[in-house]
Amino acid sequence: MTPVNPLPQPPEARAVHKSFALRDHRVDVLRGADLCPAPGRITALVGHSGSGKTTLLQILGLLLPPDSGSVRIEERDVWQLSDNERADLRRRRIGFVFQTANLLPQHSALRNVALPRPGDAHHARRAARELLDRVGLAGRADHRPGELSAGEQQRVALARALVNGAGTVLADEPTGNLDADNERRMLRLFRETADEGRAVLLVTHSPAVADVADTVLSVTDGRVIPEPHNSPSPEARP
Amino acid sequence: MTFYRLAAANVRSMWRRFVGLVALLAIAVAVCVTAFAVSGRAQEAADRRVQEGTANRSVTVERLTGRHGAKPLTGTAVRRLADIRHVASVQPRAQVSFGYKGPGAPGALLYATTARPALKPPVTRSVRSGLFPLRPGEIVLPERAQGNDLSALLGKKITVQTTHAEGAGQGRGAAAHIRVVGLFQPSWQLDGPDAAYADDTTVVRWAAAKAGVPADQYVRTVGYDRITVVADSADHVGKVLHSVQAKGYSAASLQQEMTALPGVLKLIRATGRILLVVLGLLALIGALVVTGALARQRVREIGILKAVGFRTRSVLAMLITEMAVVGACGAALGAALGAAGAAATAAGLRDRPDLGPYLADRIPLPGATALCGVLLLTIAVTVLGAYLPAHRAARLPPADAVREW
Repeated sequence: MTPVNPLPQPPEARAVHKSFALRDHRVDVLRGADLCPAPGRITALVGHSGSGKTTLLQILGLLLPPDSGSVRIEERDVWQLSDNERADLRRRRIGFVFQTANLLPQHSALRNVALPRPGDAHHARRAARELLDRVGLAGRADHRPGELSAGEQQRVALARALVNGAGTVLADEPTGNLDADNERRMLRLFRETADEGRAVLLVTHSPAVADVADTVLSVTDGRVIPEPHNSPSPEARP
Repeated sequence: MTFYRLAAANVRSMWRRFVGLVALLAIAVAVCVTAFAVSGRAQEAADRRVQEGTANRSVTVERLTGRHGAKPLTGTAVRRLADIRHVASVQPRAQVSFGYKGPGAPGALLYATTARPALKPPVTRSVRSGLFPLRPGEIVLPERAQGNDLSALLGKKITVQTTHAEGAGQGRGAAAHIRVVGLFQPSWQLDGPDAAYADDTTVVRWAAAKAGVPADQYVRTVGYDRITVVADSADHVGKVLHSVQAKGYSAASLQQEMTALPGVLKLIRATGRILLVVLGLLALIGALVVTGALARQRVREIGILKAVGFRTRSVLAMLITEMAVVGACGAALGAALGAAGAAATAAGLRDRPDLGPYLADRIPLPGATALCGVLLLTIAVTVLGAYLPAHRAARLPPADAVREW
């Protein structure tokens, strides 16, 4: 699929703080985290469990408000916008891939992919078919998620993330439930996605995912810091 | 993808989850439609009997036999009533029983009744046009009486048995000859069941013979059994009724009498109204429960929709549209079942002599307005019941809704 040109700029998190109340305790998860996934690159976000990777991804994806700090798109602080405006930004600019594919089980792969695309149903279906073809699932368009393997479901989820020409793809453990073959296939698709100029942010524990990333960042003590050895060798790419 | 397309697709995909609510709505709507169709048709039949024109303007004055101080409905009473303001005409009625035995009727007891211009029976067949006023020696019979078909008597001169008084509490039968010149719908029961209409002279002569008084003194001494007072306009019926009652006569407006349905039909109508309220509550509770349960089951789905850019309003609209479609399906199915139920109920009641006339003509189907009303009401109540849980679900923060990932 040819992405919309120019691609929308990715969101940028600046000095983000986020804490959660846990029983009587207050847990500061993020303490001044900065993150801006670069267009045309895969950024891997690593860190131990509970470090705040997913929280940061949700904040960057406009799903969760920060306690302080800002998330900006083209210098606009998105948390100053209305819910509807944020929903529109999510639809037009950001694609999500979840650990479990999170497809609507009652609908076909085709309808799941077309879901975020409003307006003309004919065009939405055509774009969805093209994307399913690209992820190698043209023949499974009419199948429901329950009739697809985990790897196939994740590929449908990636197609859904791209259907609106989003400039940013945020993925949380996208290969966590996949075998090695399907993981490689997904990573190859992420690479193609980044090569088209999109910013791809992968939250992961998987060394294989980190290996294909152009940049590896770690969430440590509530901040985002570069990981050493963050330039993978060309042969590590899928 | 727009919310209504998604809602339609959701209903198609998840129809099994909605079957219970659709069935509940369909049954409730069916019972309501049945009750309203049957009682509505009966009401229509009753309304038709209250003919336009003079019938609607009539006030009926009854003779209260055996009550102390009750005023007789003599010629003097007729004149007094005629003097009331806004009275257009006063039409007295005499009624006397007679028997007929012969072809078509092995034994029928009928009531010869003076035909009044204001309250002509609905004639179905006659020997001539312009039947009223009847000539001496003519009678108009109901098509059926006491289970006997009398239509074969039309145009024939028949012999009937009247009663001649021969002393206190005693009498003998006497034959009289009369010609049947018309037949009317037996559902016309303004003058009671089994009334037959004859000219004034004949009825008064038979009544006087039965009472044991000379015919020329009957009106002055015994008097009529009923007087119909016709107001000059429908608007004045109330005033005329009040004036008649103020003069000491027992009176009621014909409209009041005619709109009174038989008890069973009243019960059916009342049941319909009660069920309508029950339907509303059922739909409300059903929608509340089903939407609430579905919303809880579909938290992740709602989170996904919001994550991919659906606005809160679109998610709410989707959930509401789903329930509106379910409500419409339930109402449509219920209306179809209700029409069948109404036909079956009418068929079951049609053989009852007291109810048959109200349900005789055709299969009772609810009117388009009633059907649309039930459909819209069902949808409205279902949507109303769905609103709160749908609103709560749609407002879930997307991060909460997809927390598992």
